[in-house]
Amino acid sequence: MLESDIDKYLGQGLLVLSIGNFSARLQSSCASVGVHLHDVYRDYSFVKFDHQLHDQFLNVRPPNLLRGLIKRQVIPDPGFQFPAVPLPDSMGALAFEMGLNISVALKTYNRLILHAGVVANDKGGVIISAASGGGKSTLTALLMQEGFRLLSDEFGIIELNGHTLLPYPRPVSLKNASIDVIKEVAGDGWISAVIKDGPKGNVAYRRARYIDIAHACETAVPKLIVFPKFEKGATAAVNKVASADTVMRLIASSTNYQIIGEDAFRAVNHIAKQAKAYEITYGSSADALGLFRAVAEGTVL
Amino acid sequence: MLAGPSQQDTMWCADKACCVIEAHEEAWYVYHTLSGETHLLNFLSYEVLKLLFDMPLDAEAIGEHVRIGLGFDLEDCPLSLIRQTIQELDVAGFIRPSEKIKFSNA
Repeated sequence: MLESDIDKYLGQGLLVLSIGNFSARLQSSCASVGVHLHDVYRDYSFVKFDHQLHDQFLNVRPPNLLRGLIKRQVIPDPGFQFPAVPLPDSMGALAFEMGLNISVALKTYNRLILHAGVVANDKGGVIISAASGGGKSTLTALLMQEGFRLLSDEFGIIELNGHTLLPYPRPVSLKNASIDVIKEVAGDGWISAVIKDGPKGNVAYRRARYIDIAHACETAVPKLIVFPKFEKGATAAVNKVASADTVMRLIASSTNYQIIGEDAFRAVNHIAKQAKAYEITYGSSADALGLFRAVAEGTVL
Repeated sequence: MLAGPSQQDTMWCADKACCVIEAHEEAWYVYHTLSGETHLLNFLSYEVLKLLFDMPLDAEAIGEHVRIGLGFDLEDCPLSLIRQTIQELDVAGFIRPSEKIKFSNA
């Protein structure tokens, strides 16, 4: 779709973004959202809304009339109420990504959602589960450079039938020091402009590659679960995580476990028994990759 | 708070149809379909629950079966520990008294 059409349909709320099995209807009058789509989503498929079913809706809009005119601000409006801090109009990309994340996390009822990065190769999938700041996105982006395809930066999406990982390859959100780390290995051309001084500091996005987007309907069997723990100056260490502990951690990382209920229970237990799980503690990206290679080798990935 | 009365001679039972069980190394996850809650049981809790799936028992009989099943003596597994386990399973909603209790004013 032409950039001018993207802008036109985005303004009218008639733009549909397709990512694998998911689609989102988008609306925004914020110029920085359009710029973000032209840049970071340039390889994705957009169509005009024609009453087709879609999974999410997102409107990035001013919080009120005044803030649409003076000291302009935006909030993500996914069609349901949630507390959102207004951001400067120039940070429309952050509001956009946050809004889509919230929508997937809170309004997905037919699949189990884990807060995790996921990559895969032809032998299986890797779930990278960590709390915010644990190094999940950095490791996800590093593994893309290791030949893994991106399934998702924010979500481990588990099919309830078969317990496979469903791709949802959106751009990888990099924060602060990890921006330069990934820029160094991926190259400047793969990283968006830095959005400075956001709520979590500086943020930039590592684009998904064409191959990630093209394979967005190919599921992966989870073979390895990694719980990364970034600690400045930490000595590299790896610990095997027992399956019972893995279940506990996966449940804690899920945004909809309680809603899904019994099927979610079966899914996390199946995955915890099927995949090997490790906690890796590291203080540098070199250590993270070294530890990952060691545990992946034992998993035949 | 206990779901049922806890008298010395209460006969307890459990409904297996309400439990989805996943065994791990030395722990059992049990999803309770009535409450929608997930519980992590240790070997003692699981042994007691398993017994009550099969037949109603009071605390003393549960203790005897558990000691035989797990190869424990009274010192390893005293009646107080069994009563505490029963209480925890009751609170979780896994077990209930198997018969109506008669109340009297005496």
